[in-house]
Amino acid sequence: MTPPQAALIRGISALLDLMAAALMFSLMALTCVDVICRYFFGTPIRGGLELIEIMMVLLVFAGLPLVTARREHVTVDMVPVSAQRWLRRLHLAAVDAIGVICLSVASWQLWVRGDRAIALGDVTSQLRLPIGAVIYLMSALTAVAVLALATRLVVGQSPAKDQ
Amino acid sequence: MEKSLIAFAIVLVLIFLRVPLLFSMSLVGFVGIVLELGLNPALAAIPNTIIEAGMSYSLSVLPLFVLMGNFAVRARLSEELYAASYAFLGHRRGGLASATIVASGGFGAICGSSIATAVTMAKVAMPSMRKYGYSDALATGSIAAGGTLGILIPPSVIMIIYGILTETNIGALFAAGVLPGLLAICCYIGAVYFTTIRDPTAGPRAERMGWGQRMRTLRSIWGVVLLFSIVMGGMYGGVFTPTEAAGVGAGGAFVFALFRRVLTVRSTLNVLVESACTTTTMFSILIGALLFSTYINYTGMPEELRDFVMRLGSSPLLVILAMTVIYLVLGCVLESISMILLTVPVFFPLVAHLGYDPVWFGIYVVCVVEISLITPPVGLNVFVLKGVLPDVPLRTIFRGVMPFVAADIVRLALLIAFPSISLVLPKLLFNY
Repeated sequence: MTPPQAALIRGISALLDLMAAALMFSLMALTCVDVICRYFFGTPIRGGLELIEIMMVLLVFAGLPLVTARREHVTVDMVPVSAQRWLRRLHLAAVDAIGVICLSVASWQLWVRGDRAIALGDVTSQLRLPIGAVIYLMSALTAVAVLALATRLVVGQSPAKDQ
Repeated sequence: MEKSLIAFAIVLVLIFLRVPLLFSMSLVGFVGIVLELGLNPALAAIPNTIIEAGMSYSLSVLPLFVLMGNFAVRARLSEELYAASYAFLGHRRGGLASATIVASGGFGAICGSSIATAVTMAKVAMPSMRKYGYSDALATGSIAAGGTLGILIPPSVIMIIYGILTETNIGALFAAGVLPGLLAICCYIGAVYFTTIRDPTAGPRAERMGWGQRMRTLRSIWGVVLLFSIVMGGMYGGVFTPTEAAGVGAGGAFVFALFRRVLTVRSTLNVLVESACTTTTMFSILIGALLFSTYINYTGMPEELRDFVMRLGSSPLLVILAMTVIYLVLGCVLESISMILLTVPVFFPLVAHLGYDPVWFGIYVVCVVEISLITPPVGLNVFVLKGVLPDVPLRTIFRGVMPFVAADIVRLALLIAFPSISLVLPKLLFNY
């Protein structure tokens, strides 16, 4: 891989790290503050519940490109793969291709669903946040995961990951 | 029935070909729904499943308890726990291994993951067991088995997933885990005792400590006690919802780690990202399983299985025993969470129909998962331990774990024979 591309990938990866960390921390902070507000000041944070729901789902999707690119999806590796190098590469490529297809369909269908939510004008009940926007973001993050996996597929497998 | 069995077979083949579970299960589920209902409903099922499961307040207990466990690992709360149980048990034969079990149980009370529990205990318990000449088999066996207590003693990631999957009250599940957890500690200590009876050199005695020293070490575990009391007390005192309890627990563990000055900006970031990624992997297989079970439910397999079992007219106990055999076999070859996600949608209606309590079945499922975590050839805890202790051969760890597997089976038998061990606390706290 040429250096500028590698730098780009590192940049995106760092950005996603930051996003996942920020969401995780805010989720923790928000639940704590919500509890404190409710029991010491008698009023919960307005829309706290729906913020938690949105953060929850975005947290999951921010992690998706990271988990996918690092091949950390849960896999059962009990049966040994072929000892032959070319066959092993072919095997890994096929596995990645399945992943690319599944995630692409998910990203596409989420986008379609986002369109529908926007068309219907779906908003959350208290803060009136557009649900469609959240779904678009989920779709986009899934697309990043597709790109990450496809890059791996095209660029080839790093030998260290063959194990 | 045939259709769903074929679907199961294809999923298993894909899994063994190393296709990640998420993709194996969602692909087969999707194709199945296309065949049953057509393309458009199948396509719509994908975002519907994701949004319904993901944009959910109750799911947020999962990342928050994962985060709490990870901060507790960073804060090194396992060290005091080990020191305290060492002070009380170390002078007995096999005492350090028993201390490892007790400390793992204590750590399980603030951490919901068996892997995190095993890893953190390996770091504190292994050096002292080496120092006193414990056999590698007993030492690693007790750590691997002790680690499984992480998911039995509340909080528990597996119980959360079971609760979400079957819509069972997570608070009740947590309460139900307490007594079986204590029973498990006793059974494991029995396994240590049995091992050292057979081979006294496996676990020599360490020096005895005076009561003054014991009390000092006991006082030092206040952090764990405080954290556990706030989280569980708050939840059962009706102060918190499970999500809030998890959030406060994570916040508390974070504060502990801050005060101990073990956190840098970098390591905090790592803990946060790691917790997020763990959540993503679990959520992913949950989605795969939901899509797959949507299809399985369309084929009517759970009902057919139920009718089939009813026609056989076998006693409920026999059904549970048959199920146990299936789980023990599956547990050898499958990863734990995937085992639950694949089987519970099929077995749950049957078990409920037989009149078993969903909370009891949850504890049962956690116990069979615990066994699957340490049985060869795919015992996740054993592999993780191997990663932390590269110089111990895998074979040795599996050999060391065997007495604990036997203890697990004894415990499982007791839990099946006396369901009230699991149910007495949730009945008391939730009066249902």
